[in-house]
Amino acid sequence: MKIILKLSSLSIIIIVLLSGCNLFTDPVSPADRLSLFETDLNSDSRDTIYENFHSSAAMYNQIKTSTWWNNQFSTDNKPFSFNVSMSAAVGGIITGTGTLTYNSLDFDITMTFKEEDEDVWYIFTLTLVNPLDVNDPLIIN
Amino acid sequence: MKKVLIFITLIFIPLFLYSQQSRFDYVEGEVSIKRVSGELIKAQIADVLNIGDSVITGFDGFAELSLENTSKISIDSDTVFIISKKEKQGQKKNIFMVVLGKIGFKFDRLLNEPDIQTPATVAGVRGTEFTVVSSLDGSALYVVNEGSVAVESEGTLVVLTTEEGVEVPIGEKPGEKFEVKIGSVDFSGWLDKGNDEFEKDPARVLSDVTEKLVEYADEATRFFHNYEDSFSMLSEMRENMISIEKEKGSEAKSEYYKKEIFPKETETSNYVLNYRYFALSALSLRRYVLSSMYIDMKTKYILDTKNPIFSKFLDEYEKFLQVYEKNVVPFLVEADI
Repeated sequence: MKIILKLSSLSIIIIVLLSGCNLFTDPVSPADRLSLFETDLNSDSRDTIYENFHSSAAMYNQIKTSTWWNNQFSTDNKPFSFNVSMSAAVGGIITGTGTLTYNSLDFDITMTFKEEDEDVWYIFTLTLVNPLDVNDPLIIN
Repeated sequence: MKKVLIFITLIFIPLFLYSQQSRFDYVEGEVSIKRVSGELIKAQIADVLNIGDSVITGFDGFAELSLENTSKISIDSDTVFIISKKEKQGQKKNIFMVVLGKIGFKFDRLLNEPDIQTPATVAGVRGTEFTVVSSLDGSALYVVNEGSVAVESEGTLVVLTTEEGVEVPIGEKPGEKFEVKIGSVDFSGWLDKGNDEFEKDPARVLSDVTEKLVEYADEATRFFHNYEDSFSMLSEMRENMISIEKEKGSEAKSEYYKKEIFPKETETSNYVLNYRYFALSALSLRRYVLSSMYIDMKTKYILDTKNPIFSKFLDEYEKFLQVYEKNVVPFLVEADI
């Protein structure tokens, strides 16, 4: 019986090591991250929304202040709905392109995602385009 | 045609932003990165530097960064360098801050040229190779090897071209331009001179730095008020949009949102970017310049704490902290501190 238990434990350890599975954090794919971001945008708080972004995103420090989110992502513009298709990873970056709907209006959006912990993806950049002025998009990078 | 433009914008912008990162090509001696998250790590080759990060080199430290694969930044020993960002004339502009020490820049065909900032100056650059030195007394020295640099201080602009230099004391206009023979400039001697100025009258030098702090705090406050006004206007516009939809239908609402509100929303968050930029500039004065001065004085007068020079310095030190606590801290978030 002891031998069976030991063998079972050993097998579990080997499977975990071989599969590269992280026991301490749940994996978050780019699509999962987008869904989490959408849920946060549809909540009433902007205090922790920056946590959906990669800590190496250039504006990470700026977007920590909830005042920054009084822009296109304001709670006044709820509900938010994404329809984004993901591309294959290139150089560790996955790009998603599609539309963001809010205020019952559609806007073209491009997002890039970058892995931080193993299998945990975060938003790295975001570009939201106003069709009336494509040269002046809202950028989070 | 509009679809093509949108497509190009969507594809090009993320690639452009990704390529703008600064990466360590070479690291020697003590070189640390203070991340925006507050984490302090030892710099290593291939580490990427992001907006808000600081590089701090020790007495034996030296580092080289590459930017967009075409440009180089060389950070000398005993130097503090910060990458920041602000909105300027509708564009987001990278700011390279030389808080203390000596940095050499070699910019080549950059897509988005940054501004260079020291506690005393702001400079715009164009396809240029130059060196910036910022000393403990807050003064700055610019020397141009090639190209052109426009140095601005106290509302006065001096344009330097190849083999020209200028000194700028903190709180003063740039001095006269002078000719330089490349390779013969004694930068460490100039830095020592700045340290000597501080040793002569530490309280006066600190008082000049406090004036700079007040300027940063005033700018942060001004942009914060701009933000408040813009946000208040935005709230009215959003209410107006509801009325437009009721009275004129969803087409009119769509037109109003895209034409009026979307740009206002971007403008409002740009004000946040700017008040944060000035608050973080003030934080760098507190964190690096003031603390260097304090350590220098504390070490020098450790056995003579009643010395009037030290007491006068401490009075100024208290004044600096009061301004900082009252006028800067409200614009910072916990992670900054």
